[in-house]
Amino acid sequence: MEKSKGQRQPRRQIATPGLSITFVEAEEAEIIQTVSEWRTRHLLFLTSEASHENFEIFFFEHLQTSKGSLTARDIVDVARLGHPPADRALRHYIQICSEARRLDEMPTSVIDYLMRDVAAGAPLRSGYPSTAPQVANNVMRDVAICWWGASG
Amino acid sequence: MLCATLPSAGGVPLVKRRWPNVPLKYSFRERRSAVALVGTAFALSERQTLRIYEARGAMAEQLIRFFHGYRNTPTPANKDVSFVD
Repeated sequence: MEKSKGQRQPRRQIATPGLSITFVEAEEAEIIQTVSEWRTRHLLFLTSEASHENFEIFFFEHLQTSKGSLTARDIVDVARLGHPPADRALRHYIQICSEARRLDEMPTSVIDYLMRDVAAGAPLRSGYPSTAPQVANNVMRDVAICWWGASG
Repeated sequence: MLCATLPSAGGVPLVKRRWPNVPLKYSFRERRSAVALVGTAFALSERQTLRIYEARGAMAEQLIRFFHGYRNTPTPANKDVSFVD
C-alpha cells in the first residue's frame, strides 16, 4: 500500500537475535502479571492513607525517642504549616503523656502546641488537596516502585 | 523507615532480580524496559515511572522540602468540624 505524506504506518518489528518476538511478548506479559499481582496483594501499603500513616508513625516515634536531627520543635513547625500527619502525631503524643500524667515532661514546643493549637481546634483531616504537590500522597507507591522491601 | 513497612520487593528491583536480561531503564527496539513494565502494572506511563525511579535518591530531600516549604491551608473540605458545641 502506498504511504501518503504525513500518514503513520505501524512500526516494523525487528527480531532480537536469539529470541523470538512471541517469547519476548510472553515474558513481558508474565512480568506485568507478576508485578500487578504483587501490587494487588500489597495495595493497602501503597495508598495515600498508608503514606500519611507512615509519616504519623515516623513523627510520633521521633517525639517519643527524641533521637536524630528531627526535634519536637521541627515537628511542631511542620504541624503549624498544616500537615495532618505531624498534627496527629503531636495529638497522639500529648494524649499518651496526658494519660500517663507526664505532661510536665513534654518538650516546651509541644506544650506550646497543646495550649495554642490543640486547644483552639479539631485535628486536621488527613490528606492534601489535589492542587498540593503529591510527593507525600505517593511516597509509598514510589518506594514500592524503586526499592526492596524489608525481606527483599 | 518507609521501606521497612513493605514486606517484599515489588517494583523495578523485583523485575531485575527475576528477569536480569530485561533492560533496566530504557526500552530497546521491541524489548520494553523494567521501568516501563513496572509502570504498566502501576498504571503509569514509562516516562512517569522513569522520573520516579531516577529521583529515588532525592526522595528524602523532596519530602523535607515539602514538609518545611508547603503550607497546607485548611479548607472546609479538609478541616474537621470542631467538637465544641
